[in-house]
Amino acid sequence: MKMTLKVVALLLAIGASAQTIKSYADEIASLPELITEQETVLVNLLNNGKAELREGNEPQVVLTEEEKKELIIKNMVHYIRLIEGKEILLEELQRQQFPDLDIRGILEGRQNPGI
Amino acid sequence: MKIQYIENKNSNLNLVFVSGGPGLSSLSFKPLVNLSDNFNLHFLDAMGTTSELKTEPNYSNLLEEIEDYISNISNVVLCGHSFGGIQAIDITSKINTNIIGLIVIGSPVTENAFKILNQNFDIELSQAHIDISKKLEDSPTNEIYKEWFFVYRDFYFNPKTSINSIKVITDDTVCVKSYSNAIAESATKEECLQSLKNLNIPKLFITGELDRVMPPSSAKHEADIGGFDLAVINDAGHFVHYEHPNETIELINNFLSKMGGKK
Repeated sequence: MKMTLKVVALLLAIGASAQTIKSYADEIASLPELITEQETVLVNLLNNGKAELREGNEPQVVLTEEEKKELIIKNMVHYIRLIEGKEILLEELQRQQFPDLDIRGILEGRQNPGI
Repeated sequence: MKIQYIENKNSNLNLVFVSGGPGLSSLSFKPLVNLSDNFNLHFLDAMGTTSELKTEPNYSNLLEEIEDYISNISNVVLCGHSFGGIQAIDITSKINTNIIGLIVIGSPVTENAFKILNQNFDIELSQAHIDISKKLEDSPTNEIYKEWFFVYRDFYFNPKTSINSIKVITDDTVCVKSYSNAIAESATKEECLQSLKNLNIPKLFITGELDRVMPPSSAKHEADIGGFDLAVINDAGHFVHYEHPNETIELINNFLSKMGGKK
C-alpha cells in the first residue's frame, strides 16, 4: 500500500492541530483528489481488521484495538471535514443519544436542566 | 436507598413513589400521605439523598436499586415524578408482572418532549441563570445544586408561589452526583415509552397547567405514545403533586379505584 496508514495518521495529526492558511488553500485546490484518497484510506482501515501496517522494509506495526479505533475515528472526522459535512455531523450528534455523554453540554456549553 | 413505608392493613395495593432530579429525595411526595387511607405507601429515597452512596449513582445503578426493592412486593403501582417517571416507565416496560399500574407526573421521555423542555428552558434567561449554571458546572456540589434550583424556581413551580414552593428543594437533602451521572441517559428512553402502548395495565399521566418542563400539549404527546390517560391540574407547575396535593390525591384515588377492587 503506497500510502501507508502511518503516514495518514501523521498527516492527520499535523492537519488537525496546525493547519496553515497555505495548506488549507492547497487542500481546497485538490479537494476531489483528497476526498478520493481519504475514501481509500477509510476503506482500507475498515477492511484491515488487526491492522498490519508496513512500508517497504519497515518493521511490522501492529495497532492495539484502541489505537485502531482512534485512527478510524480521526480519519472519519477528516473525511467529514473534506466533504464539508461539519453541520450535518453536529446535527446528527445532537440527535444521537449517548447514555454516558451530555451532548448538549458538550456542544452548547451548558448542562441539561434537572427534571 | 432509604424507604419510608406506611402500611394500610385493608389494602393489598402498594403505591411506590419515585422522585425526580435526579438526586432529589421523596420530600415532594410527602403531601400525598393521605393516600395511606386507601393504600400502602412506599416513599423511596434514592441512595445519596438520605443515605450514603453505596455505588456510582449512574442511571443503571439508580434503576437497579428500585427494581431490587419492588421485586419483593406484590401489586405495585409505580408513581414517578419527572426523572422518577422515566425510571418508572423504564421498569414497567420490562413487563414486571408485579406492576399493576403506572402513574407518571411531568416526565419528558421522547425527543420531542426534551426539545420543548430545552426551548422553554432558554426563554427569559437572565444573567443570574447563566451565572448559576456556570457555577454548577464548575463546582457541582449539593448546595450549589439546590441554589441552581432556587434561581430557576419559576421554571419548576407556579411563579406566583414559587418563592415558597422552592423550599421543597432547598430543605431537601439532594445528591448532585446522581444528577451529573444519570441525567444524560434519562433522555434515551423513548422506546420504553412506546413499548408501554400495548401493555394492558392502567396508566395515568399527570401534568400541571403551568409546567414548563412538560406543558400540557407536550404531555398529551407523551401520553398518546405510551397509551396513558392524561390529567392536567390547573395553576400547577412541574411539581404539581407538591403544589396541588389534594387534587393529585383525588386523581390518584379515582384512577386506582377503577382497578377493580384493588383499593
